[in-house]
Amino acid sequence: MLLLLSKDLRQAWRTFRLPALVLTGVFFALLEPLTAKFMPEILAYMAKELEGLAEILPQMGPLEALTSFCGDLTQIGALVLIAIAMGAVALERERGIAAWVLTRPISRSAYFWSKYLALLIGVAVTLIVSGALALAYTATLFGPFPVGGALWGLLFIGIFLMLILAVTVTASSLLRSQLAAGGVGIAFLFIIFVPQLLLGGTAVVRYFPHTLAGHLSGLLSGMLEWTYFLPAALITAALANLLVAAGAFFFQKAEL
Amino acid sequence: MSVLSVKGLSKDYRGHRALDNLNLEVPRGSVFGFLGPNGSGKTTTIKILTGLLQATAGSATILDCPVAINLDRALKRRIGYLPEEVNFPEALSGFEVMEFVYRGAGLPAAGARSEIVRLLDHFNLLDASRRRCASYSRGMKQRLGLACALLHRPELLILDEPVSALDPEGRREVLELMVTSRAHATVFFSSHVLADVERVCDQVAVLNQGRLVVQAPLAELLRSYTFPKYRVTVRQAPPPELLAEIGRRPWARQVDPGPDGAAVFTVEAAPEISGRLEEELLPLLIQENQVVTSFQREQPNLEQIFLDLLKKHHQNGTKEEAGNAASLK
Repeated sequence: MLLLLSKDLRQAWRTFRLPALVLTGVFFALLEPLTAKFMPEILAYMAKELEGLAEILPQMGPLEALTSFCGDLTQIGALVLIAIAMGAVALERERGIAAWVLTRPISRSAYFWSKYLALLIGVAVTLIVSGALALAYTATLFGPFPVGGALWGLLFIGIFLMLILAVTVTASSLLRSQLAAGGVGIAFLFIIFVPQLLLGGTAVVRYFPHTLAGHLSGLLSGMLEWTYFLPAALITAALANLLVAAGAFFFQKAEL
Repeated sequence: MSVLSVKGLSKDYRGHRALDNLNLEVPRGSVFGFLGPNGSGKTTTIKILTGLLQATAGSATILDCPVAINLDRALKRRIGYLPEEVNFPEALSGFEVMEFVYRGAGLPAAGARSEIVRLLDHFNLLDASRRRCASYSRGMKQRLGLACALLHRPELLILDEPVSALDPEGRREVLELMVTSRAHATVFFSSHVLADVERVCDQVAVLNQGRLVVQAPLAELLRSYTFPKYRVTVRQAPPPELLAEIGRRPWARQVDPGPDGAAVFTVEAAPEISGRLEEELLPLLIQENQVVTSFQREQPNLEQIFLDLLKKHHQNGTKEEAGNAASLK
């Protein structure tokens, strides 16, 4: 397993998949605090021209910067992750690389888990690097602020992205086309928010994975405790790992 | 004793039968040539044997272990496999690929470097070993694939078209390697280059349209499936009546008139009495006022047998289909 994992990490790094994911995070970590800092000044400048605008201008601070950053990670970050993960198995199947690797004394389940874990490590690195950068940069621009909520937020985003990754990698192993796998990942990214539309405002909504991405502003502002997210976090993590386990099971009997 | 045994193996792809009731026995220590035209089912067979495809029916054993989709890891350790179109993890260098194979096979770490370097050198890949595989030519990939297949000293080598991308020198070296490998391994390889097969194989199986046409030791095949052939060149194209007359003689098994209007024809001798053909054909031609400019005995080879077998197989298949159609009516 370690042999496969080191190979997959090396591959992901050299083919620019991992750097692309990390750079996406870094880009938003630098962009959002900067936007939050200077947007009021830009708008204030415009307000001089447009009367009455100053009254409706939102107050921007570290909370807004971090909320936007988290939103970017769960939307654009998730899309970049899908784009990277959709070929994880499908592309190697298409090119015959999977067939070559799997005729070595290597188990199919180790091969499958390694693909998932290599990308999951990429997600973790992205969150650690970009999260640290976003917090440090926000503190530099706005001064010190409590970071507890943001740290929990990054963990919950990681669990949310874990599920997106699990769906895409599993689709990549079951479907022969990476585009189809990407389609499944994107469709899931929309479907995951359906409970919010149907059950929004009810108590059960906190058990659904979308809570980890959709309710983060409450956590960052201190209106919600981290324990509020715990059921969704546990269910999402379990769901992701069950999905990967099921994918690995079906991959055992897949024709290559 | 068989290293590889196949019984009644069939494979269907979306209603199309790619492999039909295949039976094979590959003796230990042999170099086994698996022949057939493109699309005959060779790669499908090999993919089933290496656990990449699931057979629709039938069974197979390799080294006394049952073959199924996703082979047992212990069995994979005993097999070296080279696919027809070999592709490696493209971001890895040749050396890293070999290292991956070596460590994956669970071999002792102590001798890894020297063994990898030795094989890379043997296949003329040492200079390119630090380059990424993505930049390798098809021939280089095939050589690296062979090095990987041999690295863990397997008991059975399964090679799908192993020399198809190699230059003549590389081809010769790989064929020699197959012959020397038989000291410690059985070699099962597919090819449609019959000269290569004839050069190194001691056992041959011919596959056509998913069906086994013949399996035999090469020497036996050459002996049983070829009859002495004589190529006769005359000054003017012989009349069809004369060729028909030759065909009626007991010593002539078959007469091939050649293309229309050609002054060349071929006579295949009946078994055991080819001597009589040599004695009687020329006098007969002279008696019929033919001026013979050349009379030559043709050396039978595998290519000839292969083409004849396929021709007969096609004819039998057509008859069978016609019979089936008639019985349906």
